Amino acid sequence: MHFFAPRLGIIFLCLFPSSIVRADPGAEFNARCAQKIHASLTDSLSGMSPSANPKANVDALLESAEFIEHFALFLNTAFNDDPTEALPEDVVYHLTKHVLEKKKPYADLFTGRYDFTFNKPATGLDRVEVVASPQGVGYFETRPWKLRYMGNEENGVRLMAAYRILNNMTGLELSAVTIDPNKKNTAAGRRDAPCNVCHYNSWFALDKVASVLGTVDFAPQLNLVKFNPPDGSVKQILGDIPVRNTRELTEAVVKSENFSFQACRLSFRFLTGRNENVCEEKLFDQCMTNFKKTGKIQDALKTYILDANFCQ
Amino acid sequence: MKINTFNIFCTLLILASACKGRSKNPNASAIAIAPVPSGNSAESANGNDKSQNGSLGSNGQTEEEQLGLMCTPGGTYSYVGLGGVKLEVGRARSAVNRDRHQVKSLNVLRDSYRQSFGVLPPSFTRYTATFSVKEPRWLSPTMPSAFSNYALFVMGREVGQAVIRGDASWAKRTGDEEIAEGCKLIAAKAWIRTISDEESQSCATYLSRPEFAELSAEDRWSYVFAAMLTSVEFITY
Repeated sequence: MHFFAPRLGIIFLCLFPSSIVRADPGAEFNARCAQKIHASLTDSLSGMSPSANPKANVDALLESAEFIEHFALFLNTAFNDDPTEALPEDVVYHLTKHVLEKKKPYADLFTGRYDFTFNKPATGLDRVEVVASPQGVGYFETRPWKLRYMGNEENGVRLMAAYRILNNMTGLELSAVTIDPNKKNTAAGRRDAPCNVCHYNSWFALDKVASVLGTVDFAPQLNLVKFNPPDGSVKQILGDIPVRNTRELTEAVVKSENFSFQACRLSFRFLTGRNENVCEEKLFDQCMTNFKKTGKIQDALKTYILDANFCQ
Repeated sequence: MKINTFNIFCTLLILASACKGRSKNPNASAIAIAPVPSGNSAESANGNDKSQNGSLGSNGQTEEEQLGLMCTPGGTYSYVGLGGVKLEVGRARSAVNRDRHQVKSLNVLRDSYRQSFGVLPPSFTRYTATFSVKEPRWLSPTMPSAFSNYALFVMGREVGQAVIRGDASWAKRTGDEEIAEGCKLIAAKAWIRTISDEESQSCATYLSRPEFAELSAEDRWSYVFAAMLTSVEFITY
């Protein structure tokens, strides 16, 4: 008996090792996976139900109001430097919600013909509504956005807007540097080295890009701001692409690899808090393929969530 | 002879299974506050370089392989962007690790307390500002800090006290088996998994530490709750 009992135990463990060592690890894994997916997409666990297949309801989550709110907050934070108290200024937030709710392509955020109306009812909460506008170019031609990023350059050159457009659409990251405040902080100074690298001699040449955006006149005494349209002439920018205005600029960027690349990178960052690394290149390739097929940011996100490693 | 060989085979199988089980949850074996895992600490050229990619397990696998995380560097495509720039250049060369975990936001933390234990710590609202600054239409990341760890510990203890108050059986969990069962119950709720016997023993050791000798059983258990609810497995997803 002394020798028999342990042997039986060993045989039993061999037949049912998982039931002894771990209690239904599959169900536990699924529960953790469901929690991760739900929290990643909606920033909450409310409404989450146990499921044998936690990835089965990803589509439903991607249509939920909670996901739309969370992703709109994410993009608003990613595309602006600082928060603002002013509701109308957060055009990225408002238009992202609209694009996701209406199941529009992600590119609509930057090229869609939209504008906003701000309603301040006597009672209830202030509201911003997205409306159709033939002159609209995503949120880039809305007055709140143009005011927020009008900049303070001489001659009304909209350098800040040029940088913001490229930053939001391609992920371009630059730091403004004033090397010699007496000489370089002028249009002529920016043509000299080393300022000319960013302002004139690269694919993102900020002065060239700004030249298709028109200019801004600011009368501080009157607190008047007037935006002037571009002159209509063709400029060779973004490498060597002919562009005349904001619409042609954003449409050119949407056609580039930069745009899809940034959409997939942002999606990865939304789900993990960081950019993809070399170990995740093939998964990233899959995201690019899926995103290009539909143009929907939801499909980029789904690529990562449905990956076998997502819940590990 | 036949039985001896079978016994050896089974023993090896059991050991391998136990090792694998432990390796899946490396942060849970110790009841302590641990840093959020980061892949940046295990840098290697391509993630498959075993000599650089973390320590090898007894079965010759890297930690990533034991976890089932596959590093597949070398994407099929190169992406040429505006101006002829290759967009994939400059990616971090970190190995796949558990750095896809994110620290729970205050919203998720609140829901976790409620879903796992059915209570919200009374201090929750008071500690809100410790985790992140709330701005309108802005996603402020949760910033782990000494203050937030302290807040998590206090709130974890409050959760424990609430659970213990609602179930008199916790005060009676003083024997070895009852303690092991109690530890497993908390872990099942907090970590959503069954802890190993080794982890259960670690929990029991924590409960029996000399500093707790003067405390009631309820108080001792509340500290176990606090420790588990401060661990990486609870505060991340």
